Amino acid sequence: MGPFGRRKGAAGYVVSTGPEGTVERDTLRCCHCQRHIIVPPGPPKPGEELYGVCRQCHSITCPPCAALGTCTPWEKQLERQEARGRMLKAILG
Amino acid sequence: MSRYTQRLQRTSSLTLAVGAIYNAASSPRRIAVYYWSMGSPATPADVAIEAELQLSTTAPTGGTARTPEKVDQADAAATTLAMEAPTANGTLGTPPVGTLLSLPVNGKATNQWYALPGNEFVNAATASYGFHIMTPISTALQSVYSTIMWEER
Repeated sequence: MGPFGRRKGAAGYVVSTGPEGTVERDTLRCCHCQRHIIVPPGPPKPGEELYGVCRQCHSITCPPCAALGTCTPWEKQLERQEARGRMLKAILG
Repeated sequence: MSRYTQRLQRTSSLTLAVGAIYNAASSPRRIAVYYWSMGSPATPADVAIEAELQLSTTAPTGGTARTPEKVDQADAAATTLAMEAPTANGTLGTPPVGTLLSLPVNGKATNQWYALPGNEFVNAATASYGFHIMTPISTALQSVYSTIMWEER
């Protein structure tokens, strides 16, 4: 566990408040698509693939991004999208 | 970097967004979402709803425009636009980058998501890019409230 009772590597948390009390779950963030994955309580079930690890940037990825096998950090994708937006604005006005 | 908040509401729809926040065509900024909550003001009932926060690349249309509230009253007004209960969604992102977070919600409960610093959902500073709040699964159509908080960068 990390500081404040968070799992090491946690990127956020979900708090569910209902008639049966309050439940808190950590979330992990995919470094490629920034998706957050809710971590279920307890140890993983056999064969359960909750997340992967990118072998190039050594960060946590979601299973679909892990299956792609490429490493494009989200910041890089943002820069590409913004460059494309600027180009389109320059062309189309 | 200024922070803003907006509450959005609609009777849940399986196809139409509860609401959206998105960049204006002029002066687009990076929007970093750090808090999102989903709940229902309806009479408590066991209604199963799946709520999703999705990236979008065009603006929704036909809904009610909302003015985001400043978290710090000393800040300038938001450049980000907000729309509640649109009649047509914007263009949603496609997997694996489409859905950023899926929240299974019970009609009796309130669910809140918090990002730890540096782990916010960020979109590109491009015209009309933003976030849609969707409810693709709902066992009964009932009113849902969603509050979203973000930082403009």
